[in-house]
Amino acid sequence: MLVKAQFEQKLTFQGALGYIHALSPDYFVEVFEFGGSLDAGLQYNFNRSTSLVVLIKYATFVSNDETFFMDAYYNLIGISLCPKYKFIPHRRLNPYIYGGASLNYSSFSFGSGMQYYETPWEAQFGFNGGFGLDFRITDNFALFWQTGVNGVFYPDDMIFSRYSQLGINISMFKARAL
Amino acid sequence: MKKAILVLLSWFCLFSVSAQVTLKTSLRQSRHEVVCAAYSNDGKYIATGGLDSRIFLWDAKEQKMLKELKGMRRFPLSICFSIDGKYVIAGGKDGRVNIWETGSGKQIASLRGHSDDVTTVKVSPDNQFIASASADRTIRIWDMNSKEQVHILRGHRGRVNSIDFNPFGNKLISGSSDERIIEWDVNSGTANNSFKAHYGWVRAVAYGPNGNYIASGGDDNRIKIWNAFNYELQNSILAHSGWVEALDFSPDGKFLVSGGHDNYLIVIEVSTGKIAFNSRKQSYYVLSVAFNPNGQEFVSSTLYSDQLMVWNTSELGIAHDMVERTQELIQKPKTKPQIEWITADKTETKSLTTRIKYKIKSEYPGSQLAIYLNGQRYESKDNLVFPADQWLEDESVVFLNEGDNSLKLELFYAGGVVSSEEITIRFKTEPVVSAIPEPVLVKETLPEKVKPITPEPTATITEAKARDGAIVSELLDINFTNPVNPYRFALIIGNEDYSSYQIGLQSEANVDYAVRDANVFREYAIRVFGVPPDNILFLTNARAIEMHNEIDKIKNIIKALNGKAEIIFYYAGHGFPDEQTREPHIMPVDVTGTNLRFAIKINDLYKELSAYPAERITVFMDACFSGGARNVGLVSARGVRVRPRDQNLHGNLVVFSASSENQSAHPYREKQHGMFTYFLLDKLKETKGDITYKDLSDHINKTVGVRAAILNNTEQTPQTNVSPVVENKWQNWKIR
Repeated sequence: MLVKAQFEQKLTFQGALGYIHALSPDYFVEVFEFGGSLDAGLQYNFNRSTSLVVLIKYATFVSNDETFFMDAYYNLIGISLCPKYKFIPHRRLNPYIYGGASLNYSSFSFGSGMQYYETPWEAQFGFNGGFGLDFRITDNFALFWQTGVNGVFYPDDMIFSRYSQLGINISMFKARAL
Repeated sequence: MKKAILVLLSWFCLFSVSAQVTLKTSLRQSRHEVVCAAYSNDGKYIATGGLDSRIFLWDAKEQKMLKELKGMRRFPLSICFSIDGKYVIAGGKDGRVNIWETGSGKQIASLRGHSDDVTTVKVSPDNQFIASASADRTIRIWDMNSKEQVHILRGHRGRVNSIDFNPFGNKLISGSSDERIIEWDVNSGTANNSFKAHYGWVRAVAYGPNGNYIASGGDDNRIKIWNAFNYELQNSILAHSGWVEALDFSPDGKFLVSGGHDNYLIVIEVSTGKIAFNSRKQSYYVLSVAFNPNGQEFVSSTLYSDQLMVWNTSELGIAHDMVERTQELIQKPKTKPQIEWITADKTETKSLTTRIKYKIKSEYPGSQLAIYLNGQRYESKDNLVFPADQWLEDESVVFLNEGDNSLKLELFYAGGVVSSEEITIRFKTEPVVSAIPEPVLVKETLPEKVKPITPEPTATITEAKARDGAIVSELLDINFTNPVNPYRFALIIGNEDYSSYQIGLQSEANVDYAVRDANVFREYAIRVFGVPPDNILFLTNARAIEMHNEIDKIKNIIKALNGKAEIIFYYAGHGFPDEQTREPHIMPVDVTGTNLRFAIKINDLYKELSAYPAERITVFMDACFSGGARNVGLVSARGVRVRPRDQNLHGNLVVFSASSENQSAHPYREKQHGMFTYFLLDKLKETKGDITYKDLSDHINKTVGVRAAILNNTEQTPQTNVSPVVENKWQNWKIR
């Protein structure tokens, strides 16, 4: 469809909460299998189908290694720029895909009892992408479910994780004309 | 939660719509999501433009697609036929005005000039010009034959969203994102007038079929009706809960169909603002509406829908004779209207008010008469109906100043304006108390539920009225008339029927007997208070604009009389408190309890009435301000009554109110009146108005309080509030 604007809401704020599951490498998965993720984003809607999302993701993996009596944490803050495409924008249930590059800061911390050690926070590039389903309640308010893969590139390895989230979209600034 | 309940109630009401308009059929072409649609002038064809950038021509009667008109580079936003039906014209995202031959389907022109989207295309009624409006802030007028550009109309400071020619083709109006409407002279290409029309974009404008009204719709969700001659706002209707995207008059001018971003189609009766029909919720925003010139149907399109809905309006009551007559009058060559005085020049009078008589001859349908007194517009009359080839004789009552008064008439018509000669009327001496007038019968049509309640009427006015089908009430059984006081004026308002003016209100929200109360009070104003009939401003089921106008009028009267005026203000209807400020308001029939912006604040009303010195101002308020009502409140979901804030009184003002604090004002069903009004008037009848304000106040308080307890098992205590200025003297004031 060659339509540039369709009275869509131009800006959408989104927030989502979910779990994150490590996929690789194996040694990472052995220690950090699950965690939680919290996303907040700002989305500019070019039209009802195509958007650009700036997404801030915070994820934390927690491990309790009984062998060494140690707690371990992997913390990640990432900002990603993701184009997003909705397939049937005028429907209430609307599937979409998204994906893009990210810049991440991550750190490991571990310890036991009173003593904890934390590696310095370092920057890594990565990617973030997946698919989801919007459920539009009104023109300004929608719920969504989405799942995707997050990758963080380290100099000697890559950490992949899969996440699944439930969230809300709050949209505003409706386009004034067709 | 409350909002959710209100929304649910509104939805329920919207789904239980009247059947005056029914969905007849839908025209469908695959992937053709219709943005714009138009009928040919003979009603035989429909043209549609869609998001797929295709234009289709349809047989309106057979409801089948005839051909595709090819050549649009991007999708169209507006489409129309030439008046003779030979051409289809469309403008849109390609910024061009594209023209096709209807017969061959061949594109014959693609006019360039605009630098942005073409939002509307229209053809002048004489088929001479095409007008195109654009997001580039201009309107261009093109010659239909040569396809040359004739004028560029510049004046808007934003995107021009909509335009329309008047039925005579000499004027064009445009609505823009700059919130203004501009009226243009088509021949000279200059702006006649410009005015702010909406808060937000003006999305749709249309002339009424006889050229006397302009309708506009905008981003304040309102439909506004304007006088096309002086641009005065006639009505402001909040029927949609989203931007008003499209509107069109029915060919007889009685109705207006509109579509909005609330996904509803609504048909409004233009003269009253009543909602005649509201559709089921459409699948998305309504983008276009167009009446068939035969008045039998209209079409509508919605965003993302490939169906063009065709709605049957044969049950709507469109006056087909008026359609034909208007068409005939518009097409017939016309002579300039004439206007002459019947009242002689240099007339002398000893009366403060005088009737002036004049006659008009006009072939133009839809004109406005303006009466100027001493150089200032005194009164306007709309919708004058002129008999064919005959003079129309008419009269008005004017309120004179002492000494010489100059009077002049102006008739505004589609071709311009004609003026009468100026005459002078001298108001020579101090006004004298005029003779007692004949009793005036109340002629208003009554609601069906009002039945005669006097079983054996005596040979009085009551009997006469029963035979006449007018109001019957034992209160009207009065056999006296007090002397007239020419300085007394009354503004009487009875607001009963709220449900006809507001979507989502059931008839239970109406104020039973309020119109009847107002009618009977008018009789008492004349017979008991001694108000001359010409000094009464009377409104029933009054809309916000009417109430504001009449309050302005009474304020001007007080100002003109320089301290001599005695004002009686009577109101029966809904009162309502602002939930946050607890500010009490009186409610026009078209104002909802959830949006009090156009309601009238009681304190503002009292301020207006006492803005200038007056001999005395007496207010009778048969309304409560707690959120309760005679039946149910304006907002059904309200669970808690609000205690309204105290009122500030100024000047020589006394207010008799039906109830106190968070009480309701109840009806007296047996008598078919408001409880307060009934006992007020009953006492005035009994005493023939020979009663002091104090005694009247004591009587009402006691009687209404007792009766409310017996009949309604509830508390209703009227109260009398007085301005500090008169607190030592009001007790001894007398009614007559």
